[in-house]
Amino acid sequence: MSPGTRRIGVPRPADVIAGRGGRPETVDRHEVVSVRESWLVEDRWWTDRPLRRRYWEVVTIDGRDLVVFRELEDGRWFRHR
Amino acid sequence: MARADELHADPVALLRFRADTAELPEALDRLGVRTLGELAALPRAALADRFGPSGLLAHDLVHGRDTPLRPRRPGELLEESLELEESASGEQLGRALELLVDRLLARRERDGRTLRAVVLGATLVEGGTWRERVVFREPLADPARMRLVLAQRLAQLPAPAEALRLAVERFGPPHHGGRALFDDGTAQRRARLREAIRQVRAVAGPEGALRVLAVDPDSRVPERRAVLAPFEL
Repeated sequence: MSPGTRRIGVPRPADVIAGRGGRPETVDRHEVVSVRESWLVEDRWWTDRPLRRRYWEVVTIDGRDLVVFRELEDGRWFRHR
Repeated sequence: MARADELHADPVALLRFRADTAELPEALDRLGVRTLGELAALPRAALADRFGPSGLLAHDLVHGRDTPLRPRRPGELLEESLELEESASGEQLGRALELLVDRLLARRERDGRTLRAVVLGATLVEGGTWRERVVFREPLADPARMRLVLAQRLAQLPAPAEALRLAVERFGPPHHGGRALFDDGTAQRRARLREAIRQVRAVAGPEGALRVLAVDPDSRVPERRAVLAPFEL
């Protein structure tokens, strides 16, 4: 990437407690009241650094709409917003 | 046209025919300079010193150097006319006027100029013609404003018309809106924007002016879709 350029929407680590089937139950200590959507992204599987993410778009009890994902390679959780 | 050396024997009084040098013959005569040849023999600097610009002009003239001719521009006739199918009045005339104004403004010869004065004319059904000269308060190129002014004059038409004419009598300066097609001030706006960016960066640092650059907008991985990049012009 050229100097002075930076990515937008870089995911940041999230503290997620997941229940059955990997469904998030809390995100950063905010209770999840509904799951709006879930999807799987698999990319770069032909490289040494494959990308495999299970995404969840959830609504928390305080009304926030969040997009979180779990890195299926190492199990860590991140959030986009 | 006589050559300069053929005029050398002629009197300096000929300079009276030119407004810029009309004052010189009397002074030259007092100095004993009586012919154009004698005048031509004087040093240019001395004439400039004694008579200023008119002395320089006289020196040029007697050496055969004159200011370039300025051709008179032939009068332009820009006119649109419309035959009315039946004796028209009221609303029909209004529509005809609308068409005439649009056609006149669309003429290529107008070349982006505004109209300062027009002549509105009609051939009357009962015979005879009618003519009104209209000078706009300011030069116009806006058909709606022109129609507004002309419609008031048209209301004074004494009888139904079978033909309507609209001619340009005098043009105004180029219309700013029309000129925008070729000279839209882009360079000026860019310079101002560049200066604004410079000032923002001076206050807020290098990241004060960034732009969102779509890299892979359809990517399924959100952080790949766009980047923030320095705003450059």
